Amino acid sequence: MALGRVHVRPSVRAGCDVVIPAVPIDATRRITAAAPSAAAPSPVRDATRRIITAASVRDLLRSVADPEIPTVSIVDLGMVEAIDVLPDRITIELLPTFVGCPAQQVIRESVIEALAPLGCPVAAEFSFRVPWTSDRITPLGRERLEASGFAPPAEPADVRCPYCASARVAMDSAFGPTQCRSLFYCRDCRQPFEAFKPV
Amino acid sequence: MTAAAIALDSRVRAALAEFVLSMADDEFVIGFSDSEWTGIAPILEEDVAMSSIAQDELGHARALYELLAGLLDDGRDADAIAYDREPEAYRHARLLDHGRGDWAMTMARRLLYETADAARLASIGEGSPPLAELVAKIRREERYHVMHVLAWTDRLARAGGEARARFIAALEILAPDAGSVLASPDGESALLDAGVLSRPMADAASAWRSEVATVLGPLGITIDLGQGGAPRGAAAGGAAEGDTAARGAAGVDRREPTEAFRWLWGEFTSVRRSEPGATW
Repeated sequence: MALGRVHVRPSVRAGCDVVIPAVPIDATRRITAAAPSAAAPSPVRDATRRIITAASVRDLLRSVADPEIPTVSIVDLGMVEAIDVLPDRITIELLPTFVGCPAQQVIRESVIEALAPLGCPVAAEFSFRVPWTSDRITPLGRERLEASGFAPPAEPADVRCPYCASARVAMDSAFGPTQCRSLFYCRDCRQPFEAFKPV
Repeated sequence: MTAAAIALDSRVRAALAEFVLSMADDEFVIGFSDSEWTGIAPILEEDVAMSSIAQDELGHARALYELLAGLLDDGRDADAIAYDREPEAYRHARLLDHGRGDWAMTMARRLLYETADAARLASIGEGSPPLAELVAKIRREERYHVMHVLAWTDRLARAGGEARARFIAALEILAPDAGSVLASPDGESALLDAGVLSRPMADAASAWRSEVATVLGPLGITIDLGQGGAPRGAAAGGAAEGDTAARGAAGVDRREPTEAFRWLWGEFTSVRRSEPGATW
């Protein structure tokens, strides 16, 4: 595991809530767990003293998109499996849509960047602990995919044209410009389009 | 020591490392070899399909090499394991020592490899959770590769004429080496005892032979896939020097890499060798 740089910071108490460093914490570096101090479990707060919760972290992650599908957030794609707000860091477990998805590094960096305003070290890692499946895409995610011209994942017989909703579509190729998409053609509006592969 | 390496006794760990290395090398070699079709496949859709399949296989190889790096814990990362070995040290199956050849040869090789690989993936149990989790994910993707090659098998076999003749000729050239994908790994009994494998590779090989016969029979094609587990491929010495996993069945059943593989090795290591140690 890569070790992050060690930062000298005010030693008031361990925890993101008290750290208002003169030099901002380098949140782009992963930091290994330091033993939390004996302090009683108290809410973890961000640099402006607002309490950080898994839900508030998740909200920030709604601004992070898969670079290959810029209109849908990684939250709506179902890629965020776990968020842990610990006294000394936030850990994010991400699931790749495909094992060899080349966007993983960019997504991990975008996650760290999106959480930088919290002022806490962030560890974001991809894992295979749970397999990502296309069922994990949320209803909002499916809606946004469709609005951007991608048919949401469905078995080939159930794919509808994202432009005119026609069922008269044909799969040209199971393989498309990215690992997660197939090529289709709509016989009604004569528009080629891409559909998410059901996996 | 990493989480993947803890909790396994050394015999199981060595056998697991050897098994993961051979799977990773298989995916790596077929992925690189198939990626040669990028730009020159017979039709545009196939150009995209072969590129996408190759990208999947290389992704699987990468994840397997990363798992292996955790098991070996010898300071090498996935890239070092993938690229910093001599051609003799790769453990891919003999089937993949054949070059991509023409389209018929590539499809024949894909048919034999994908069906054998599916039988291998179906033989992995829960004994090593990190491997089991990765395999669960990989199997969902391999389904598309199998669909793709079955469609081509049907198309080439039913086309008749030169297409069918070339396809059958390719199958006959590859058949004696195809069983090497399902060779019994060194330390198989330890892997079975630990639940890393849920069935011996010999069972996987019989299931695979039936599967291939089910696909080719209706097309009027019969090939002899041999009996028992064929030996694997290139020479020993793959994992880490001095590691029992690397020595394995040293020398036995190994043979010199083919010219086709040496050429491919020269291609896939050329960037790495051009600037050793660089971060790209």
